[in-house]
Amino acid sequence: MVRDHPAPTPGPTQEPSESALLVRRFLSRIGFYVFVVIVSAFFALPMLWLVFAPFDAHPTLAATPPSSPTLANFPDLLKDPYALPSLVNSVVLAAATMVLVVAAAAPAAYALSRVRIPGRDLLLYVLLLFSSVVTGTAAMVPLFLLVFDLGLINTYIGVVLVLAGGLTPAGIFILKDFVDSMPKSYEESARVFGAGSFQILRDIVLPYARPGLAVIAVWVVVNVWSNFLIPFILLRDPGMLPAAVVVYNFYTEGGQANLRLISSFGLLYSIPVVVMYLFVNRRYGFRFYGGIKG
Amino acid sequence: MADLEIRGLTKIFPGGMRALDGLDLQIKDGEFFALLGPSGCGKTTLLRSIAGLETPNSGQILIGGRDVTRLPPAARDVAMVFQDYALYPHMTVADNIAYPLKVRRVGRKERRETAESVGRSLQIQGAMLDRRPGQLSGGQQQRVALARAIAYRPHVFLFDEPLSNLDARLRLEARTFLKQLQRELGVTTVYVTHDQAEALALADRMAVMDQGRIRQLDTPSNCFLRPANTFVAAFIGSTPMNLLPATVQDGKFEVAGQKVMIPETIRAQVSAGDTVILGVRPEYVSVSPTELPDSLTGTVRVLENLGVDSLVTIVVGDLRVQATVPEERVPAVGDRIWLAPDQRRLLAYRQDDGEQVGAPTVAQSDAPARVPSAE
Repeated sequence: MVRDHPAPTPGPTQEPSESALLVRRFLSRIGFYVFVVIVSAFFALPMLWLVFAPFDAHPTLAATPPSSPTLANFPDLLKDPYALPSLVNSVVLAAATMVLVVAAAAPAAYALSRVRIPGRDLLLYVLLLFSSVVTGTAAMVPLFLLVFDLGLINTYIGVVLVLAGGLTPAGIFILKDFVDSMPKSYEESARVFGAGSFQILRDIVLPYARPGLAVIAVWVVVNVWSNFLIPFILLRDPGMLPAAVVVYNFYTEGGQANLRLISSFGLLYSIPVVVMYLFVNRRYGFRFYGGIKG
Repeated sequence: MADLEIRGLTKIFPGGMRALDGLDLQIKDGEFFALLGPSGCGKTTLLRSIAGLETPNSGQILIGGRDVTRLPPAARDVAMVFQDYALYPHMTVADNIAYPLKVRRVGRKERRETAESVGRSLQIQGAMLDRRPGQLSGGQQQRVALARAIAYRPHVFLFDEPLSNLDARLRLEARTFLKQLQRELGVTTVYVTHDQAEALALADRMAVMDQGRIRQLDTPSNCFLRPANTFVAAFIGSTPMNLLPATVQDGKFEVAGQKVMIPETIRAQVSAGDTVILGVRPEYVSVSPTELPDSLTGTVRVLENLGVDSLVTIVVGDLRVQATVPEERVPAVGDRIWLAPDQRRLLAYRQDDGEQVGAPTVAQSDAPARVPSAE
C-alpha cells in the first residue's frame, strides 16, 4: 500500500485496544449462542411436547413434564376403532407408493441418463415443475374427476397411483443425478463381458445407485405418511383412512381438540418414521449427491 | 486365440468428425499389437469398434476369420481393460474377477474357484479377494482388471491405456509384467497408448495413427530407426528427431549454408535443386570439439541432463540441432562444436507430403516403411 497522505490521528475508534477486541469477540460469541438456543428451542419444543403430553392425564399446549403421569391415554386411544388400523393403512399406502415410485423411477432415470433424446432436460424439468409445484390443491378437482372416471374412488390403487404420479418425477430427477455420476466404462465393460441392459441395471446400476434409491424411498414414505389431502379426497370408507386423516377424529364436534388422544396418537404416528429413518441410514447410508463419493 | 483383420473401417461421428478413415489392418494370432498416436487420432475409436462399443459407418472387422462387424460386444469373445479399470465398487475383488462368469450363469462355487486360480497367477490372493476395489492400490486394481479380462478367456485382449493411471515407477513394473503375461497367455492383444515408449517396449508390431489413418505400420525398431514420414519421426523417440530443411547442391545436402554428405542409399533418389527435410535422431549425431569432415558447426545454446547422456541444443545458422552426448564429453554453453550425422541413420523426407524420399507419391496409409538403408 502506498501512503500518500498523513497517517490518521490515533484515537480509540481507529485502533481498538486488544482488550476491547476481546470483549467484542466475547459478546458476539454470546449473541451467536443465544440465537442458536432460540432457534433450537423453536424446533425442539414441539418434540418435547410430543414426549411429555402423551403421558399426562391432563395435557395442555405447554411443553411441561407430566404433572400427573399416566399411561391411561393409550388404552383410551385404542378404544377408537379407527386409530390403530389407520396406522396400518398408512404403512400399506406408503409401502405401495414407495415400491411403485422406485420401480418406475429407477429404469426411467437410467434411460434418461444414458439415452440422448432432444429436449430431454426440458422434459424432465417440466415434469418436475408440474408434479411438485402444481399438484395438491390446484389439481384437486381434475384429479378427483380422473380417479372418479377410472372408477378408482375409495380404492388404495387410486390413492397410490395419484401419489406415485406426483412423486415419481422428482424421484427420477434425484436418481438420474446418481446414475449420471457413474462412469460409462462400468456398463461398457459389462457389455463387453456379455451382459444385457436389464442385467447391467440389476448388477451394476442399481447397486451403484443404492444410496440414491434409499434417499427416494425414504422421501416417498415420508411424503405419503404426511399426505392428508389425497386420501381425504379419494377415500370414503373411514376404515380405509390413513393416520394423517384419522387424526382429525380426535376433535370434538365443537372443534375442540382432545389433547390426550391427539398427543398419544401423534407419538404412535411419528415412531414408524423415526424407526425407518434410523434403519435406512444404518443399512444404506444417505448420500444426497451422487458425484461426491462417501 | 484368433487373428484380427480390419478392412476399410470408417467411423464418422455425428457432427462430421472422421475418427477412422478407411483403415486396413491385420493382426496376427498371438501378436502384441500397439496402436499409438496423439489424442484424437482415432486409436481409441478403433479399439472400441473392435470391442463393439462403437458401430462403424463402413468396413469390416473379422476376428478369427468371422465377420463380427454387426455383432454385439457379447458375441465377439473380446475382453477389454479400461483406462479407469471399470471395477465395480460394490462388488468384492473376487466377484469382480468372476463377473464375466456370472453373466454366463456359472455357479457360485465355480466362480469363486476361477477367481482364486486366476487371482493367484496375478498375486491377488487371500484376504485381498474379499476386499472392495476402493481398498486396493492403483497397481492392485490394475491387476484385478487384468484378472477379470483373463477370467473371461477371450480370443482377443483390448487394452485402453491400462498403465496411464499408475505412477511412473509402477508403470515400468506393470509394463514388464504385462508383456510377460501376454507371452505366457499367447492371446492376441491390441494395446492403445499415447506413450511412444510404452508402445516401443511392449509391442511386436505397432501402428502409428494420425487423423484416423495409419501413418506407419511396422515393428517398434523400424518405427524408431526408419520412420516412414516426418509425423512418425516427430512422434516417436523420447528426444525428438532433428528435422532440418536442406537442398541438394553439388552432390551434397546443404543445411543452413553448410554441407553434409548424401548417404549412398539416398543419392540415387535425389537430384540437384531438390529440397528435402533431413531427419536424424539426436542419438545418431556425433559431436566433436574439433573440426570433422562433412559436418555442421554451431554454438552450444542449452544443456539438458538426461542421466547417462546430456541433450545438447546447438544453434547452426538459423536452425537448432539436438544431439545426445555422453557425460564425459559434454561441452559448455557457448562452445563452438562440430556435428556429424551418422550416415547410416540419416533420413530424407519430401518437403511436400513429409513421406520418405523414394516412397511412392500417393501416400499409402498402411504401407510399411520403405527401407532406404542397405542393412
